[in-house]
Order: sequence, then structure tokens, then C-alpha cells
Amino acid sequence: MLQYTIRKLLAAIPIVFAITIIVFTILHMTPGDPIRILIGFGVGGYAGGDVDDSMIEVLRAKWGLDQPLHIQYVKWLGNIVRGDMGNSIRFRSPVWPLIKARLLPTILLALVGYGIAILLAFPLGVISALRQNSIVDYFSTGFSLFGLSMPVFWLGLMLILLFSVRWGLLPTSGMNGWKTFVMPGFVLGFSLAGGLTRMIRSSLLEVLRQDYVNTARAKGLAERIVIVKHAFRNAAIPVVTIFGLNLAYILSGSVLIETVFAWPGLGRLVFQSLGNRDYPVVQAIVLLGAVVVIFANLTTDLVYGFIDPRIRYE
Amino acid sequence: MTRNLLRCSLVVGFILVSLACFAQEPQYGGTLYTAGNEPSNLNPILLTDGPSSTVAERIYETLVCYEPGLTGFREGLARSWESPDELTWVFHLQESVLWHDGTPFTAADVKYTFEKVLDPATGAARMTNFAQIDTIEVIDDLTVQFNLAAPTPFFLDDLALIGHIICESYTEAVGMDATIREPMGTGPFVFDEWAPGQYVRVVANENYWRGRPYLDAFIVKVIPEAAVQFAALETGEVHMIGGSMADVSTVEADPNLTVFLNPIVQFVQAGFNFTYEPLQDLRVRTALFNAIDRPAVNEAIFYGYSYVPNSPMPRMQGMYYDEAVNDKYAELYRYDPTAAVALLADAGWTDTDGDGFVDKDGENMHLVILVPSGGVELEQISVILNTQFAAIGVSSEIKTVEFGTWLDMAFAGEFGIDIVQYGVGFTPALQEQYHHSQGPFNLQFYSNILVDSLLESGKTATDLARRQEYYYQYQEEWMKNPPLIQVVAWPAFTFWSSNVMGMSELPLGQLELIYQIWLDE
Amino acid sequence: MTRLRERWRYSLLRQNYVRFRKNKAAVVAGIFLTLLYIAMLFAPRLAPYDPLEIHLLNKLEAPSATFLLGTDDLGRDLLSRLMVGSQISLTVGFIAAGLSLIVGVCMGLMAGYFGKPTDPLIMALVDILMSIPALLLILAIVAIVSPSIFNIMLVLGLTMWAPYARITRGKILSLKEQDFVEGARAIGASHTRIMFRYLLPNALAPIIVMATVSVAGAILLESGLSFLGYGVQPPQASWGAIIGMGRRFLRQAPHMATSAGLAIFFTVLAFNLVGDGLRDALDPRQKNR
Repeated sequence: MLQYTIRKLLAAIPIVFAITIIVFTILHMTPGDPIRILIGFGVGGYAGGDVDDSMIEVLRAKWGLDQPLHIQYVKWLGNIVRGDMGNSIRFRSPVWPLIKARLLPTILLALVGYGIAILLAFPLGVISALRQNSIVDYFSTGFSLFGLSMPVFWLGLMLILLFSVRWGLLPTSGMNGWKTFVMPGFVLGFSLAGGLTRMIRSSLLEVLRQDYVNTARAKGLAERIVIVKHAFRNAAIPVVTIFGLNLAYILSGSVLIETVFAWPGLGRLVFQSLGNRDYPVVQAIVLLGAVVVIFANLTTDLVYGFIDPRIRYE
Repeated sequence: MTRNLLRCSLVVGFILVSLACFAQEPQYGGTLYTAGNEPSNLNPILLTDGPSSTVAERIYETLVCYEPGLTGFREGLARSWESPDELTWVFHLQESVLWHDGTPFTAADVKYTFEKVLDPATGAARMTNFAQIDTIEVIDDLTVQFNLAAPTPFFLDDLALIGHIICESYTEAVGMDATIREPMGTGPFVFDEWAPGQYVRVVANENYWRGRPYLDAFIVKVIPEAAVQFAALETGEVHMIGGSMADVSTVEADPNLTVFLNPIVQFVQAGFNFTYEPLQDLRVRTALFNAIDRPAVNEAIFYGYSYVPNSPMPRMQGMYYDEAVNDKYAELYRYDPTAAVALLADAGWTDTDGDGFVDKDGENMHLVILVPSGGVELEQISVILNTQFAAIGVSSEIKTVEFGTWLDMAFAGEFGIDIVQYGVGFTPALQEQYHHSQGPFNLQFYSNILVDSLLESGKTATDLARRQEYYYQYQEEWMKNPPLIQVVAWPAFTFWSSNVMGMSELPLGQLELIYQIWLDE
Repeated sequence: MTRLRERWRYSLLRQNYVRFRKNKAAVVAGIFLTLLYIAMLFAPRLAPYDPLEIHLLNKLEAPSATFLLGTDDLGRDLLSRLMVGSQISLTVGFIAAGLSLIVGVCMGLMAGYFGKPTDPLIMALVDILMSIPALLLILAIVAIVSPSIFNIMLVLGLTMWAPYARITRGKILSLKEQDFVEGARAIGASHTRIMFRYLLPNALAPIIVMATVSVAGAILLESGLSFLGYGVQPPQASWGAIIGMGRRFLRQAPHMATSAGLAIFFTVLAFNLVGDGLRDALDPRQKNR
């Protein structure tokens, strides 16, 4: 297992490398010029000033955008290796503080969201599997599918209208104090819980039909022990996979929630930066994201081995 | 008995009246909250977007300020000024003004600011506005002289709008780049904190030269979603938001909220691409004008708050706006689909193959309507254009693209009609940006020699009457040969909590005199 | 004739059908889906109004007798737009989900079954795909091909298969050590046969769940795209376009976003119930026999 891990970590380095090159290329292929976007259109002499093309050239040179692509990439890579993420075009200031300020809010919201997702999904999933085709099952199916079919902004805004505007119980948005975690956390959890509940239910159903479960029952073991010891372990694999996948997507996944609740997270930053063609910011976040993705997938693989001893990695 | 009653009521009345007067006395204290998008750059000579200027303009100041109603200029950091000749301006600065770090404000700072602006290496977008400045001389600590290379009638306007002064000693000490996130000025508020993605806070300048502002602090909360901004206003979390027209009637009905109208308008225009052959014919362009029911757009999409312009000059630029000419062309550009069809036929465009769309020489006229995504009204207008063009037989398709791509495509001319929107600006100098053949924002590839020369003359004519004449002629020529369809001009609304007092309706926004605003809590 | 009737009476197909019928919920859902499918196919003829017809005087009206689901921001009938829009939304939803399912499952099968060197290679590809933001891909696509919704969904389907691959691979990894696989190998089954005939059917359950979730996701993604200006161009109707505009008018006219959201919800719910019903009917080991 240890050898496997080390090999995987070493293999990760060229993969991250490849990701940065691919993203760099795609970024520079897309239409849209960050400097033109920075200057904007139609600020009309107010707040921006009138611009002519010579200024555009000056600004492009400031970020080295006038240089050939491979030189730009090599420079960027050289800086990254030294720990310098460069300067944002939009914010005209270093990239790392922009990211650092948003790391903790993103992680905290993800934790709260997952916590709520688990709290919702596990009981519902297990009960619906045990009581298949009962009212509870249908309720849980409807509940979980509702969470993933309704647009996130709809869920969010309905909650805000109810809990903030009508009842004044919670702040509408932003991040200050535990109260502001409630609604965004719930919306995140609710939207994640849908897929998780269904996966738990389906895996359990599958396992409950297996012969060895019948064998265990026939041996006279208490229902509960049967389920916990045998069913869970085998049902766990797809559930663990989903966990890993969600973890990998947390950096960019919750843009909508962050926008609706004005949450200072990385999802919104990467989205805005893509719109602004803010290359340094996007590249830095993608780099971080790649590390998280690889880490999440690797952990999932290790957990597989832990849950199901039959799984061997060569 | 009655006399006692009378005396009692008089006393009570007197108390009530004094209480009322007392209640109107500005109180010190409180924090003003507003919701908006995140600023990106708090250095006034480098910033390029609205949210940034909302904050930066509370920290920094200009030499002169507009009078309300744009009738003239009043003192800013300069208490008086004169222009001995066309090419010289002398400003006498206010005494005892301190920077937020305690150092005195002097003429050296003014010189430093404009030299930095004019230095290409700084990368200040407003460099072109001040390109006419030749040299700046420091006469003494409180007197500074600008020597211009050519007559610049709008010099004071540019100074009032984007001539913010930065501090030489501070900027040299920390570097220009650092001032982007840690600004320091002379204004009524001092920079306190910028929590990325969350809010920016500025606090009252105790030593402000106009007197300490009533408010203790001013905070811009970052709330990107419009519906949530409105919710935050309703719950009292913020005192002010930029409002949407759809909500105006709701807000007016709410006693806790007030609506303010900003007379600055945004023009929404459907620009022609002059490189697309069919549009080069004036009859075709006029026909397209006649095809659009602009008053209906005003009613339906802008709730009647906009007006239908014909002149490229906005109404609020009173001195330069020629109402007579505007009205003269209203008739020519009225909504008249029958006339449109006739004009098209006149120009050789008729439906010869029965597909419902006009064609000439075997090819249909096909207009690509290019819209930047994100603006609801722009998309709605594009749909109306699409429908109404079809009604006169002109085939069109809508292409919505996100802003970055739109910029590329628009500048490359990959469209037939592009829908643009921009704020109209305070001086006619703006017209040059959009309608001069070399203008940086001339997306239409419009090239009209007469227009070009009129604009150039108007920009440098120092005599007001001559200037007006140039701009009047420019409007007439422009309307005879329009580069675009002026769809509507619509104002900006802001919604305020009713307990915010001391506000005035100013063209630059209610926050311009923020030091006069106080909270009644 | 009677031989045919006999054969039908005892056929597997009929047995499955009878079992399916017993599941009331699934039947109801099945009927709903059939109706939906018919509505989708004949939408232009069945819709009460022309979905492109503007009634500026009736804009943002709540549901009423004239406009059963209300009107949108330009006064167009929402019911008609939902019906006609279903053609696009359902199609692209299924193309994207279906394509990513097929590609992802095959990748996952190969990775899980063959081990080194296929597994690390495919997983590296998965890591790469998962690290590239979807929006970036879309922007790039638009640079190369025309930004029609079909093109976008096609390319998305071809690049968003990573979750399917991971799920399938996970299942395969635990399945392939089981005895029945040994047995199949012993009787000389080819790799392909083992993968598709033995392993895949047992791995189907999580794949089906994933498919349901991603159909909903794909339709919502379409809405996100139209918010950006990609995908369906105005004035065409699609559920995503309606949701996009509904978001901007959520306070003034909540019925727009709500009705479109509910349309997605009921469709996904129906598919789930039918899917469940089918799976139960087809599974020979179902305990309630």
C-alpha cells in the first residue's frame, strides 16, 4: 500500500504539469483579451477615462502578454516553482493573497455542506432501502430528487426570502458568524444529498439481495448485525467514490451558491477570472485544483483497499 | 378653562415643533452600508470600473467639483482658479489640507499625480484625457500651474471627473502597486479594511478639511446577486443598492424605502456594421429605424422610465443638446413598418423568392444581432428587434455571447447589428470616442469626414458659442446619416432606506456629498 | 395462432411486464413519461400559443385562465415555451448524459479490469479532465466550432465522463476478484465477454443512479450556459433559457423559475421511478417474488 501511494504521488507530478500546459493553451486559445476587458466598454470618461490603442499595448506588456506563448509559460512555471503566483490582471495585485483569503471560507462551507448532506442522506438512504417501495421510500426519492432538480439559486433565494426577509431569523448573505453558514450550508448539503441518498439506497438494495446476506440471515444473526457488518461494507464502494468526486469538485463546484449567498469562495473567483481572462489567477487556481483532484482520487483508491480487502493494486 | 387649554396646546405645539426641528438636526455616528460588486482597484488613476470608483472616490478628491445641475464648478482641493490665456490654468489650493497619514497636501502632489498619469509606464487608462497637458509647474506650496499644448475647453470637466490627486510621498514610499490595495487620500473617509470577496470599509476622516463627516464609517458589502441585494435592503442589512426598474413601483409603495433617480443615462443602441454592404445604403438603415417601435420598448422593457433619443447627445448636456434638431428627426425615425417596407423596395430589396425575407440579387439580407450576455434589457431588446425586423421582411438571428468574446467579435466586425450600452458621459468629448472614425470605441466602422472635423473643432473651440455651433452641426449631420439606432436612454435608480438623510440628487450619484449624509436611527 | 399465444403467455418478456405492472408508482411514472414524450414530439402543434409570440402587455403575469402557467418577461406563454423547449432540453440532456455514460463506463471497465498499464493511464486522463473547469472548455469550444447547443453538449458529453469512469472502475475492482469471474475465465471467455456479459450487469446499479443525477445536472448546466449567453440563442425556447430569465425575475415573477424547475423535477422523478421499476422487474433475485 505504501509503495503504491509513493508511486502514485510521483506519477502525480507529470500529470499536474500536463494539466497546467493544457489549461494554459486552452486559455490563450479562447477569444477575449484581458486588457480590453479590463478597460471595459462604455464607462464613458467617468471612472475610467478614454482609451486609445497605445495604452492597450502598454498594459499588455506589463503582464508579458505580448511575448510568445511558450516563453510566457516557461516564465510562469519558473515563478511557480519559486512560489510566486504572479499578479492578477484584474486586481493588479499578487494572486496568492486573493486565493488565500478564500481558501478557508471554501473549505468551511464544504465541510458544513458535506456534514448536512451526510446527515440527510444516510438515514434516508438506509431507510428507503430497508423499506423499499413504502411511503418512506417514495418520500425520500422525491425529497432527494427535488434537491438535485431544482436550480440552486431557486432553493437559495426561497430560503432567503423566508428566513431573512419574512422572519428575520438569519442574515441574507456574506460570511460573518455561524448564522451565515446555515442557509448556504443547507443548500449545498441538500443538493449533494440527492445523489448520495440514491447511491446509498441502490447499493444497499443490491447488497441486501446477495446470497451471503441470506446466508447470514439464515444463520440467525440479528438483522442489524447482518446489515452493518456485511451490507454496509460492500455497499460502501460507490458511496466512497461519490464522496471523492464531490471533494474533487469543491473548488469550482459551488459557484452558484457562492454567488447567491455572496460567499467569498474560490468557485466565484475562478468563474469571474475566467470571464475576465485573468490568466494568472485561473492558472493558479487550476494548479491548486489539480492537486486536490489527484489527492481526492488517490485517497478514494486507498479507502477502497481498506474497505474491501479483495481489491488489490498491482 | 379655554385659555388654559389654549396655552397648553400652544406649549405642546411649540414642543412638537422644536422636536421636529430637533429631529432634523444631523446626528453624528452610524455606518452606512451599501451592496454591490467587488471593487478591483482602489487607486483612482488606475481603476477602470464603477464599483472601484464607488470606494476610491470617498478616499480621494479632485481639484474642482461639479455644481449640482452641472451648471458650473465649485471648489474642491482648489479654492480658486483662473485661466490667464487659452493654454494656461492656475489653481490656488486649499490651505491646511492633510493627507490621511498627517502630511500636508501641497502643489507637489498635484504635479506628481499628473506626471504619473501622463507617463505611459504607469498604465493609467485616463492618460488620453489629459494628453493636452504639456507641463505642470509648482509656483509655490499652494499654487500650481498647468500649461496646455492646445486649447482644452473641457479641461475642468476632466479634472472634476477623473482628476483625483494622489500623494507623492506615500506613493513613492510604498510603490504605486501597493496603493491599489492600500489607498490613502485627502477625502472624507480613510481606508480601513478590504476583506477580499466580502466587503471594503472606510472610516471617517476626523481631520477632513470640510469638517468631519457625520457618518462613522461607510461599508460596501459584496453581494453579486441582484435579488439578494434587494433582500438585504429589505432586511435592513444595507441602506442603499443600485435598483432595477422592475422594482421601482414596489419600492415606492414601501414607506421604509426611498427611490432616487440619477439623471445620468445609459444609451442603448443598435449599431450598424458599415462594412456589411446592405447597411451602407442610407435607405436600408432608415428602414430599419422605421421598423422598430421604440416607444413600445420604452414602455414594456423600461417601464416607461426611459426616453427615446434621436440625437447622440444626451438631454442632460443642456448646453450642447439641440432639441430642435432632435425633434426634427423624430418624424423621420418614427415607427412605421409600411414606410420601412417601401424604403427597402426602393433600395432594391424585395422578397422575390417568397421565403418571407427580402433579398437582392438572389441573396437574402441577413443580420446577425450581436448581444453581450448579462444585460437583461439588452437581450429583450434583441428579441424585439428580431421580431420586428422579421415583420418587415428582414431576416436576422441573435447571437448572445459572454462579454469577453463579445468584445473580440464586435471589434472584429463579426456582426450585422450590435447591441451596445454605455453611460453617456458629461462632456461632448465622449462623442469622439464612439463616432469619430478613429475613435477607440467606434464599433460601427463609421467614417464620416464631416462628423470627424466637426468633432475635432468642437473639442478645441474655447469660445462657448462657437463650440455649441460645432456640436449642433455635428448632431444634425449625425442624424442625417446615423451610424446606429438609438433605442432608448434610461436613467439609473438607487434605492435607499428612508432613515438615510441629507441626500441630494446629483449627477455623480448621491454619494458624492457623502460627508453631508447622516443616519436617523 | 394458439402456439404464438402460448409462447407469449410463458415468455420472459411477459413475466417481466407483469412484475413491472405490480409496481404502481412505476406504472404511473411510465404513463407520465409516455405523455411527456408525446407532448415533446408534437409540441409545436399541441402548444396553445406560438412560443415565440410576444405579448408585451401581458408580461410577467402569474398563471391564469388565458396563460395556464403564466407569461415570461416578454409576455410569451410559459406553457408553450416549456413544451416546445422540452424538445431541446430533453434531447441535449440525454445526449450529454448518454454520451458521457457510454464513454465513461467503457473507460472504467477497461481501467478496472485490465489494471496496469491501462488503469494508471486512464486514471491520469480522468485526473486531467476533472481539473479543467467546464466553463473554460466551453469557451474554448466556442472558439473552434459554432456555439450551437448541440456542439456544446456533444463536447461536454465527451469530456465529462470522468465520474462514470471512477464509479464503474470502483465497482469493477471489487467485482473482478469474485468467483464468477474466475469461473468465466476458466471456461475461456474473452476479455470483452467477461467485461460486458459478466462484470457490467453487476455494476449497473450505481451507474444508473449516476445517470439519473447527471440528466438533471445536464439540463441545469444548459441553464447556466444560457445565463452566459451560450447554448440556445434567443428567442428559442428551452428549459434552461426559461430558468435563466426566471432567475433574473425571481422576485417579480417566481412562477417562471418554479415551473421550469418543477418540469425538470417531475421528469427526473418519473425516470427514476420507471428505472427502479424496470430494475426490480428484471432482477431474478428480487426477494418479493
